[in-house]
Formats: sequence, C-alpha cells, structure tokens
Amino acid sequence: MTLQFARFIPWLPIVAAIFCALCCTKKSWRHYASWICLASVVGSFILSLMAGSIITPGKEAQTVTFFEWIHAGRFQANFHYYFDTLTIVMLYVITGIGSLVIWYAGGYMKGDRGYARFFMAVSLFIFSMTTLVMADNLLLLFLGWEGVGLCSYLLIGYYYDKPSAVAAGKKAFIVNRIGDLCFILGIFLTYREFGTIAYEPLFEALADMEHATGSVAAIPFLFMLGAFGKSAQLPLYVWLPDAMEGPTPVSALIHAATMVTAGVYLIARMMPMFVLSPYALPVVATVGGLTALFAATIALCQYDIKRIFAYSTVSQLGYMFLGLGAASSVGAVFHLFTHAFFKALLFLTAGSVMHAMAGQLDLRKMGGLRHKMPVTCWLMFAGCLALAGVPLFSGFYSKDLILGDAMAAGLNGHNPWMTVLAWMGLFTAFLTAFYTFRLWFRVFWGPDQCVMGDDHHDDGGGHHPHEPHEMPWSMNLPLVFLAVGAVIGGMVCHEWMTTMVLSSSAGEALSHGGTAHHASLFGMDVHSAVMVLSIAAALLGIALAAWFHLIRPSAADRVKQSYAGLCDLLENKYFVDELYDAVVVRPLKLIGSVCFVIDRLVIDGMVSLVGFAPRLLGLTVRPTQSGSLQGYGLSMVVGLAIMLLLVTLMWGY
Amino acid sequence: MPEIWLVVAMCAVLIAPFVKRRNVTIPTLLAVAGLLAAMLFTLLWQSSDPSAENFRTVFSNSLAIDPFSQFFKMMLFLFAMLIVVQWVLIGRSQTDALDVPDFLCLVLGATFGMSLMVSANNLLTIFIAIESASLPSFALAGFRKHQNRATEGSLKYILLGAVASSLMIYGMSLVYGSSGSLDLATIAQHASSEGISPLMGIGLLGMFAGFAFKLSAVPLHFWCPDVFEGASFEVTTFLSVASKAAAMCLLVRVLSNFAMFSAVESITGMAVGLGVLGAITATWGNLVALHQTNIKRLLAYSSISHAGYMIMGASVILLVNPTAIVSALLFYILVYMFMNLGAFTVAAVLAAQLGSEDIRDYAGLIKRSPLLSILMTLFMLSLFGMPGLGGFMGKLFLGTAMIQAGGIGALLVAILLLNTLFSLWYYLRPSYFMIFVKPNDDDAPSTPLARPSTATLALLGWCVLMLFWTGILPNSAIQTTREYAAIIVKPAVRQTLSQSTPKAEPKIDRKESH
Repeated sequence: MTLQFARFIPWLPIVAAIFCALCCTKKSWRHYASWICLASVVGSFILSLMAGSIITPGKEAQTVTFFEWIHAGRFQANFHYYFDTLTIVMLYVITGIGSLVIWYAGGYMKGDRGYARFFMAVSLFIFSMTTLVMADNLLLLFLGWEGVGLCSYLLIGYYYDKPSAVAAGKKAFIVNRIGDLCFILGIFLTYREFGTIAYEPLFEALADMEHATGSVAAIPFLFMLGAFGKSAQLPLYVWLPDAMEGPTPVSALIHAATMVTAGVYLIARMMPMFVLSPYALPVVATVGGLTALFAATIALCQYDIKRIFAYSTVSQLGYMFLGLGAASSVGAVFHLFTHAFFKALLFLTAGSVMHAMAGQLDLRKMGGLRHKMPVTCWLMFAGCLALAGVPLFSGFYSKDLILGDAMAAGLNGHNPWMTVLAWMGLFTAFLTAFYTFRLWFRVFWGPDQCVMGDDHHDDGGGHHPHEPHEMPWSMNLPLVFLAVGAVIGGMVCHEWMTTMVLSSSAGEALSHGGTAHHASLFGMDVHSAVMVLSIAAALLGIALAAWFHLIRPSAADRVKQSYAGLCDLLENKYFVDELYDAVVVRPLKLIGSVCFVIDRLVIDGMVSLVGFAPRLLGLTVRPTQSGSLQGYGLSMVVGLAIMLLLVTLMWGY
Repeated sequence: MPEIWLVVAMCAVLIAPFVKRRNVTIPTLLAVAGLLAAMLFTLLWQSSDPSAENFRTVFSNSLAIDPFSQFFKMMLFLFAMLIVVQWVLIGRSQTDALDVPDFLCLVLGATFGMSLMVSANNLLTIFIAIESASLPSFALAGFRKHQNRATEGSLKYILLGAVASSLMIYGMSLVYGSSGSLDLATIAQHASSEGISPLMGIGLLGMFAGFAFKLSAVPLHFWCPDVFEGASFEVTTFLSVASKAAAMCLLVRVLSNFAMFSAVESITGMAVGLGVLGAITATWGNLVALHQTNIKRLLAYSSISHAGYMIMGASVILLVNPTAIVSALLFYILVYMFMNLGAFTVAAVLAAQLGSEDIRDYAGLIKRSPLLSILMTLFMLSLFGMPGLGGFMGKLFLGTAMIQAGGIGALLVAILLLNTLFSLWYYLRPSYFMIFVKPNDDDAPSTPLARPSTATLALLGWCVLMLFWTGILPNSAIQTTREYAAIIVKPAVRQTLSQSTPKAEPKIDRKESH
C-alpha cells in the first residue's frame, strides 16, 4: 500500500474549514460546524494511523508528491509531504488530541455567537499544523508555521469585542514576528549555502559535513530564535500567558498541546544541522533550562487558573528544549507527547471549572468544588499527577528521561554547566509539583466557596446560573480519554517512542551513547539517581502544597507576609512586560512617530512631485495639438525632416 | 482566403436594403455572419497544428498565409464582431436606419483591409492593404455627418492620411528603386548583401512613416485625438485597437524579414531609431494625456502611448530572437483589445446616460452607478498595468522580451516603467472623480443611473473575465501566442538555408489557393 492517501490528511480539515465558513452564513446551520470539524479531524486521525502502519521504525522516510508549488530559476519548493517516524508521532498528537479537544469544544462553545467561526479557525489550524509537520521542505513548513500563527491570532482574539483579547492576539502575533523573521532568514541562508531547502537533499548534504563553518554555523541560531518565539521561550515567552484570553479549548489545543511544540519539532527535525555546530545545542539547553525554572517560579504566585497552566506550559516547553539541548531528542519528543495529553486535560478541566463558575478563574474565589464537580475533580487530579511527575504517570517517564539524559551528558562530558542545568531541572520539578497541587487543593478542597463570574453563558441546560455544576458526559468523555493517556501514556509508549524517534532524522543525527554511562551520581547509575531525586522532588512538592494549602492555610499566609517582596515580584511576573514596554515598545512607537512625520513631509512630497513634474511637461507639449490642420501637417513634415536628417547623418553625409 | 467572406458579406449587406427597406436586423446579422464565416474559414484553412511547414504564400508571394497572420485575423474578426455587438447595444439607436448598411459595410471593408495588412508580403500589397483599410476608416470617422466635430476629424484624417500615404508610396518607390524588388524577403536580402544605401534608408523612412501614421506614432499622431473625439464610440474603439494592431503586425512582418536576412550591424541603427520613435511616442502620449478631460481624447492619448510601447517592443525584433517579442506583442494586442473595448464601452454607456464625455461630470458616480464606476476603474487599472490584470502581464512579457536585447533593451524597459508610472495619474482620474469628488450639489442630479442592458453587462463581464484570466493565469494564452509567433521566423530560416545556393530570385510558392 502506498502512502498516496496521506496527502489528504491536511486537506480534509481545510475542506471542513470551507464548510464551517458556509455554516457561518446561516444561524440554523451553525451547530453543524462542530460535527463537520470533528468528522474531518477524526478522518485525518484515521489516515494518520494508516500512515503510521506503513511508516514503522526502521523504514526509509517517504516523500508523497502532491504538486509542484514554486519553480523560479534553480529555486524549487514543492507541495510534497515528507513522512518519517517523527512526522507520524506529531500527526498522532495533532489529530488525536485535536479530535478529543474538538469533541469537548462542541459542548463547551455551545450557544456562542461565533460557534461556526470558531470551528472554521480550528479546522484551518489543523490544516496548517499538519502541513507544518508533513512539509518536505522548509518553505512549506514555514507556510504551516505562519498558518498556525494566523489561526492562533484569530482564536486568541476570538472574543473580539473584549479589548484585552484583541491586545493579546496582537501581542502574540507581533512577538512571533521576531522569531519568524529569524526563521525565514535562516531559510534564506540555508538556500544560499546548500542550494536547496528540501529535507532529503539537505540531510544528505549535512551528512557529508564534519563541522559547520561560516554562515552554516549561523543557521541553527536563526532557526532557534524562530523556535523560541513559537514555543514561548525566553525572551519571547511573554505572549503565551496573555494568549489565555482565547476560549479554553484553544488554550488546550493550540497553546499547550500542538502549536507551541512546533519549535520543538523544528529543532528535532533540523537536528542534523544543530549537531554540526558546537554551540547551538548548549544554547538551546541553557535557554530551555532557564525558561523552565523562570516560568515555574512565576506560576507559584499566580491566582488565575489558566495563567498558572500557561506558565506551566512555558516551563514544560523549557524542559523539552533542555532535552533537545542535551541531545536527548527522544526525551524531548516523548515529553511533547505526554505533555500534550496531560496539559490538554488540565486546560480542559480548568475550562470546565471556568464554565461551571461562569467565567471565574481566580483561585481565591473558589474552593471545595469537589462536591459539586466530582468527575472534573478527579480528572484534573490525574492530570496534576502526570504534570507533577509522580511515578507511573506519563509525565514522570518523559521528564525523567530528559533530566537523566541531561545529567548524564553533564557528567559524562565533564560539562559542569549541563550538570547545573540538570540540577535546575530537578528543582523545577519540585516547583512544578508544588504549584500544580497548590491549584488543585485550592480549587477542589478547602472550605466551600464560590464567587461566580459574570460570564452568563446560555447553553439551554436549564441549570441555575448561580450554582457550579458538573459537565455533561458529552464533554467529560473526551477528558476521560485524555486522562487515560495522561496516566498510562508514559508507561505504554516509552519503548515505542524511543524506536520511533531514533529512526527519524532527529535520532539518526545523534550518536547518543545510551549504553556508555560511566558516570555515576551518589554511587548509583545516573539515570537511577535522577529518577530517585525527581520522585523525591515531586513528592516533596506535593507534600508542601498539601501543607500550605490544605492542612495549614495560615502557614501559607505567614510565609507570604514574610516574603512579601518576593511574592510581589513573582505575582507581577518579574515585571517583564513592563520592562519590554519601556525598552522596546515605547522607543518603537517614538520611531514610528518620527517615520510618520518623515512620510508626510518627505515621501508624500516626492510623490506629489512625481505627479506634478510630468503634468508640467505635458503642458509644454500640449500646444502642438492646436487643432489646426496646417499646424499638424507642418509638424509632421518637420518631424520627418528631422528623422531624415538623422538617417542621413548616420551614413555620414 | 477568409477575406473573401468579408467581401461577400459587404455585398450582401449592401443588397439587403433592396430586399427589405429600413430593416436594421438583417444587415447586422449578415455582417456578423460574414465575420463568423471568415473566422471559421481562418480556423479551418490552416487547421493542422501550427508548424514551420505552415508558412505559405499566395498570389506570387504577395500575401503570406502563416499562423502568425492567422492568429491575428482570428483576433481581428472577433474584435470586429464585438464592435458590431457594441454598436448594436449602444450606437445603433442613434443611427438612421438607412445608414445602417453603409456603416456595416464600412466596418467590414476596414476589417478587410486590416486583414490584408497582416498578410501583405510585398510593397504593393502593403500599400493596397493600408489604403483599403484607411479609406473606410476615413468614412467611418466622419460617419456622424451632422456633427461638426466628426466632419472636422474626418477631413483632418483624410488630408493627413493622404500626406502619409504619399510619403509611404514615395518611400516604397525608392526602396524598389534601390533593391529592384517588391518582395520583402528579397529587399531584406539585398539590404544584407549590399548594405542599406542612403537611398534605401530614406525610402525605408518614408515607408515607416506610412506605418507610423496608422500607428499614430509621434510626430504622425495628430489625427488621433481629433478623430477619436469626433467619431462615435464604436468607431473610436475600432480604430484605437484594430487599425493600430494591424499596422503593428505589418511592422512586425517587415522587421522580421529584415531581422532574418540582414546582418546585425546594418540594422542596429534601424532598431535604435524605431526604439527612440517608440519611446518618444509613449512619453509624448502620456504627457499630453495628463491634461485631458474628455474621456475619448484621454483614451486616444492612452492609445498613442500604448502604440509607443508596442513600437518599442517591435524595435527589438531586429536584435534578438523574435519569437519572444512577437508572442509578447500578440499577447499585448489580445489584452489591449479587451481593456480598450471595456473602457470605451463603459464610457459610451456613461456618455449616453450623462450626455457628457467630460470626466469632470463623472463626479459622484460611485453612488449613482457603483457597478459602472468599478468596471471603469478596473479597465483603467489594466490599461495602467496593475498586477493581477491582463495589462500588467502584457507589459511584463513585453519588458522581459525587450530586456534580452541588452543595453538598448534595458533602456527601453526603463522608459516603459517610467511611462507606466506617469500614466497612473490620468488613468485614475476618472475614478478619482467618480469616487472622491462630490458633484456640485445644484446642477448634478443624484438619481441612480439606469442599469445597463444585460447584453452590455455580459460584454463588459466578458472583458473583465478576459483581463483577470490573462492577468492571473496568462500561461495558456502566452503559450498559444508563442506557438503562433514561432512561425513568422522559421520559414525565413528555411529560405536562408536554401539561399546559400546562389539564387537571387525569391522562392515562389505556387500552391493553389482559393
């Protein structure tokens, strides 16, 4: 069986997007949109599974031709799809998680004015994201990359009558411009250096290279900046927390599970290029490790549920980059996979809480919800355990793999900085467990307390609007699937993921000596030692959270009072937004004003001149058209006489 | 010979009133039938696919029947048919029923002459063809005989035309005298073997002056605005496209012969001269157009500048492989035909409803007739060369073909671009008045204009469609023109090869023909 059918994976959703757009036109058609979208994405998922049955570990990567896109001179970029095991893994995540989230969103968005618009954008997103991972060249990848950026913008600003949502959409879009500019510069440079931007010839050319020299060495750094923008890493992470203005399913699908991992995918895909440069991967690891710690500390003191998860996402993405930087692409992609499950689950359960509380997201205004929403409570518990890295839950396996590989890389390579990063990762694991359970305890345990939000949705359920309520099973069932994935995904998929990733371009480039661990930590094998440490960190974090937020809430207040300055700093996210505003935004606005004045005076003046000068010239020649026949005849003859003169002059007479 | 059908139709149209007096439908149908038959015949006569073997000549090598002329004739007959349609839709009601057959006969006659122009392969047929295209045109220009401007324009046209014709025939006689032949290929061979003597140079200049008159190239352009202003819209449209395009094709044939047979050195001067002529024409036309307020005069100067662009393109034929440039020119003519037809039709509809051809009277039209305003803007943008519309692609192909000629070509392209920039000013002026200028509140009625008839809208819609098609997906059109353009060159190469054996007499193809 050939892979020809696989070309429909992106095209089913885009057809669905067209139909959803049609559904926008008529109110009575609106509710079909979710079904159209869901059907197309499930269809894509089935096709992905079929493709996965063909592309198994150890098989050659395949290219599915679709059509020739751009041909200009030697430059060539085709709409062809590249399939290797990494593509398959990404497709499973996108279409699988995507189906579940869309299923959930069908209930969540009910009664909203823009119901069909929402699903149109989501379908378009699935198209872009699948194109991104299936692209066989960098330009097509960039097409998908920009496509997901656009959908993200559309969906963050989905509530376009809310100024904060509009601002958040703009922020996400503009911050991503910086990364995308670097990314496309990297593509240009790749073309200039290698003469091609298609993966296969590119990988062949890279395989022949020993070291990156000259501008080849710069390419990974440009790609890296693109990835940092899209995946919300330092210093470009600021857009992701604000992106939570979008509807919660969007936060789950785009801003936790799929789009933000595009940067991880990009670096994993381009691993053959990154390993050539001696500095590229350490920089990735450093940024990843610092981001993980930085975001986790901010998450400690936030009160908005979705923002906590947003910072948590930034932090977990930091882990993935740490993994990539430590040459553990298996760990990174594995964490991407498990994170997609548990973070989508966490966001959706947070969405359920928000839904039930009429838009209320403030931790301080809720408590004891486990009586009202038992199913949601335990679903979120499963997600929290996975995020905290409790043994046997999925997050544990992947995070542990990353930390173990990082520690091993540090100790084996006698690279103290990598060791420090690994220790930082362990500390972050402790913080993660703490803020995760702080949230869970405060929402579902403690004294009953609920201050409803003012977001009165009307889903026709007939429930009392001032009472939190459990979600219907049509919305909880997809969460159950996600929870199952979050719980057992790590255990079940560990081996499979290792073989999958190692047989892709991400794995082949790395001569990862998994067996050659000589170093030891505390007299144990590095991996075992890190495992013990991370279990300890997770349990310690949970215990501390239970102490502060369940058993002795007064202790938490006291700690908060004694470290008021620190808490203030964390609550205000280190004042990074304010810093950016002062350093970047204001100067740019000033430059903009100056440019505006120049445009008005100089450019407009020049344009007017361009219009004015010919008219003046026209005035001078116009009198020849006097209307008198004699004048015409004379002019004709004189003109010809001049030409005659010129002709004769040409012969030298 | 598809032209025979035009002659038959002319006779039939003239006889029709004797059968049924004052009937306007029958002659119209007859004329359309004649044009259709001619089209069909053009298509069938050379039904096999265009290839080098398809070049043949009739009447002692005096008329060439090749795919190049075939392609142009198809366009010409189609265009003449569209003109008849345009006239039926807009102008026929203003024509006296008794004059209808005369009008149609003149249109057919002019089409006949233009059709011969593109086939003409020796000096004599060139002269006959030009004259038989010109004489009906003179009459058409003055067809609205009760209008002073029409008679004035027509008289100017005739007198200036006579000057140009006499120059041309005098030049031809000099060319014949110096080369000893009427046949274009032989003249070109002579020019290459003996060099271009001063006498021949002057003769060629006179000859080109005749062509330039038809093309309305500076300084022989004076007739153009006055005639266009006086004539009815159909005639203006017809003259602005068909007559110029036919002259263009004639020029292309003459130049291709020189390009094939002559050494490059001897004709570079000719190329430069033509290029300069084209550049002056384009610039002059644009500069004067900037101050026009009458839509017909504006479009007249616009047509002068477009002729200038095409002459600039044609001059390069002498320097590089002509296929690219000839195909670009054919494409340009195709696009130009539709955009001019569209612009003039909208102007005609507006003139009929507003009673004015002054663009200042278009003020506030966007409110009164948004459709017509948008259509006018589209056609004007295409004439300017807005990407996405056919006019842009025409200029693009012309420019890319020109630039192959090296320094001269690059200079010509620069002039083309500069002119395009200037032309934006006047092409957008009607739209400026339509959209941004408020009408003087007291004297201008603000009632919506009557909706144009469905047939008119269909005609306009087709023009728009063609412009978008050629502007967005030009590949199939340019491929076709390339196939047809290749022919004008290949047989000439063949003849050059056979010419290596000393054989002064031109090869005469005595194939039997109709």
